[in-house]
Amino acid sequence: MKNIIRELGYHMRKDGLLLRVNLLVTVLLIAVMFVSYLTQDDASGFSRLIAASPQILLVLHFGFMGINIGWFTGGDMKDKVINYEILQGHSRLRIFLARTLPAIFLASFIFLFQELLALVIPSAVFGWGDVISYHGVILRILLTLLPALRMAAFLALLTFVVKNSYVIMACSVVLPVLIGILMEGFSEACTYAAGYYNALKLFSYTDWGIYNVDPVKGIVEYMSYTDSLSPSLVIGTVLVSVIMTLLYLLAGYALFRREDLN
Amino acid sequence: MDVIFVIIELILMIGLFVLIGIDGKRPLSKMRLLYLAPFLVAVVCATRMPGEWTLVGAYFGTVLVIGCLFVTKVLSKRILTVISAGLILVSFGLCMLSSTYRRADYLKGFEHGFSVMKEHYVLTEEKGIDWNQLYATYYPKFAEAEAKHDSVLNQKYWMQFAEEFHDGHVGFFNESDSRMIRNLLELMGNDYGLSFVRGSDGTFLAANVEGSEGCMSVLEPGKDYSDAEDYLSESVEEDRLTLWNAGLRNGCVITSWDGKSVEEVMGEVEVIMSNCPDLENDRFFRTMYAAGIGGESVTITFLDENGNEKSVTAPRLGAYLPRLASTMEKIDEGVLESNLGWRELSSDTVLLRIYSMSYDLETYDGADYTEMTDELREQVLALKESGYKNIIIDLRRNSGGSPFMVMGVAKLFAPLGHHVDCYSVVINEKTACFERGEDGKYVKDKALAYDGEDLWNHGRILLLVNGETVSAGDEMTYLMSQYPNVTIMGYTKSNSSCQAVTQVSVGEGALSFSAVPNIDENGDAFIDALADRKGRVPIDIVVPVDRDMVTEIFDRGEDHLLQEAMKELGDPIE
Repeated sequence: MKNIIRELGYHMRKDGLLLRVNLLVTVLLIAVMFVSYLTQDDASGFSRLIAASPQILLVLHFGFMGINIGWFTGGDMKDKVINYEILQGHSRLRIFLARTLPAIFLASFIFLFQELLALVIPSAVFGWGDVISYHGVILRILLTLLPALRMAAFLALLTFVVKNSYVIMACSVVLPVLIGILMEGFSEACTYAAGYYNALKLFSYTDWGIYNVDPVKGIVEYMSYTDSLSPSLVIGTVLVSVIMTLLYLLAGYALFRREDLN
Repeated sequence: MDVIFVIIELILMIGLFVLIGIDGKRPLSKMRLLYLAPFLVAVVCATRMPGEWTLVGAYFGTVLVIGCLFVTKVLSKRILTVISAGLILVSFGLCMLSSTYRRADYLKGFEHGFSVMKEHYVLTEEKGIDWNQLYATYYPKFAEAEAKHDSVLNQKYWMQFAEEFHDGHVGFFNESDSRMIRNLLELMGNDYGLSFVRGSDGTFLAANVEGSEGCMSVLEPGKDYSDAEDYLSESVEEDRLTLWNAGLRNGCVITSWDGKSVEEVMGEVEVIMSNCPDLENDRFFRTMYAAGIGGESVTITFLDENGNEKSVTAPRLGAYLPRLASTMEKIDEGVLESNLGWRELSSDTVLLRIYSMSYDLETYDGADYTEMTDELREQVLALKESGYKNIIIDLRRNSGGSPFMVMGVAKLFAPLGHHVDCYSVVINEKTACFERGEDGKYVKDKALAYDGEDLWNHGRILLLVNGETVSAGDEMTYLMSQYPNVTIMGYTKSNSSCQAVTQVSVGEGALSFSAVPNIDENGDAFIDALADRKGRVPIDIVVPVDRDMVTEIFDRGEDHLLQEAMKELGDPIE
């Protein structure tokens, strides 16, 4: 199994394409942060943007995980490398785990890294402000690793279903749009229904919203935000993400176990 | 959504059961994917519907079928499929039988609503609210509602809780209109074939009597109350004219109800549908609710049209809610006209109907009502040019809206000069809470003001109001009461609730409450009745409630208040 992982890592480093794509995505995400901040009315710090529009950190990030998953899990499926690995005596379980486990962890940690960069760089440039605390946001980003793992495991399962890494990579373009549509259906009760919803809930800071009346502007809205995370949300996130990740991996292996690899 | 989910999964299980047999004889290339289909469908469905614990078996069933990929024998696969299908069916059955199925937690809803309101209700000091007492009183009630999974109790306790504030802006709205109607049908009591109206002389008058032409019939509750048919007594056809046959008519004085005075019966009214801060208004409306109190029959003593005292035992006909709503509507409903619509009443008098302080969606959140004001100005000037002398502005059942629309209308009739409507309050932008000073009063921020144009200084303006004229409706009444040529008229004062509202979700519905303060020059709450429960919006003419009023409205279907307004203007309707 280690050899399979080393082999995939070697190809990844030699190819360089995955690295360049991830760099591009990171730059794109940071650019989105900059544009979002500069086009809003309030210039009191980056914290207000994060508190008011938490999904801005999530929509693109989640979708682009498909690129990493597709490449690492199924990048060589067309070349039938798996067939050769079986002929070499590797068990299907080892082949499956060698592809999926590093893929989901790598994709999730890249996701995490991109999130942190998208937070750190703009806040260093524009200032953080005092709407919500910096370490509170960092903690939530770190917790988002779990829903990201869940999402990555789902994409890995899909890779074994369609057996075409390019389709999964193409999903990276479709998924952000789909997620944007699914967001319409988000409610408190759906928190654990999908990895994306769970992540969105982790990024919800709104404590109280009200309005006031201004003689010129009319109705003006005000929001207060909270840093605290409820223990039940943290526990729920951990439990549901772990269970669903394991289920997705089980389903993927079950499919791969006796598959006719033609 | 659950039904769709179950149906799809069962179809998949049946399909799998069949295909397993076919696959055993002639292997199907995509068969392995099909074993994953139920699981993937469950994952997709989960994004559109929250999880439900009674469906855990179904979720497990969709995972269990993945086990078919680990077994080779056809029989084993089929057994797994059958077990999975069985789990799905059993789970669905549990859902349907479970009283907690997709049901909100009433106690959690109360705790959430209570804590939010305690922190953000803006009239706590002004109305002398004792939050600890309220929590001690209502926590056990909501615990009872939750233990019994009783939506009716939940609705009842929320309505009682809202009434504690004597604030027209505090109320509970069930998320489902149909459920709310069903709950209210249970809560409003029984229909014996009449309503009450409190006369100005303290007597209680029969109104909306079954059998009177133009009054509601228990057999035709109206399309909003179609569920009321389930509450009709078996002998309703024979019993419905009991009161009529006994000589009880609209306007007859009710002297006792089941051996008690109507005043005593009013004390047994447990819930009312809309809150009246003013005590007199509260008495006026609460009287109507009293006619729903009783068991399978009530003994009514009344004075007939000749003044003779009679007694009749009135059986229960059905649910009281439709008749109560009908009575309120007949008394309170304003002229049926579009919002900001004009109607000519005579050669001297026109009516302007305003039932909501909203012009259009674009302007509602803004401060600029110039377009509306310009349009109205043209109309007013044209009417003046045409020789009209009087304007009746019908604000009955005005549910409120934008203060800027209020000013946009009022300025046309205000005396020349600068007028201040009210003041906003300084808000802490970080906590989104309104600031109080050391004296406990809210800190004044900006004035909402307008410049009067005095376009109607040649004639009179009459404002028609009632207890359901609320919020921005109250505001307009208050502002215009200060103009020299304006007269406020109604059976009761307007509601006296003028702070701006917000809503918080509380499980099975939403709790609305006053959350944005408006204050006057002295920093006191603008308009709202305080702990003394005296409405602070003036009224110039209180139209008497008497037999004539009741018969005019309920027998002849006339707009009695409007007729009185025309008489006041010296321009009676022929």
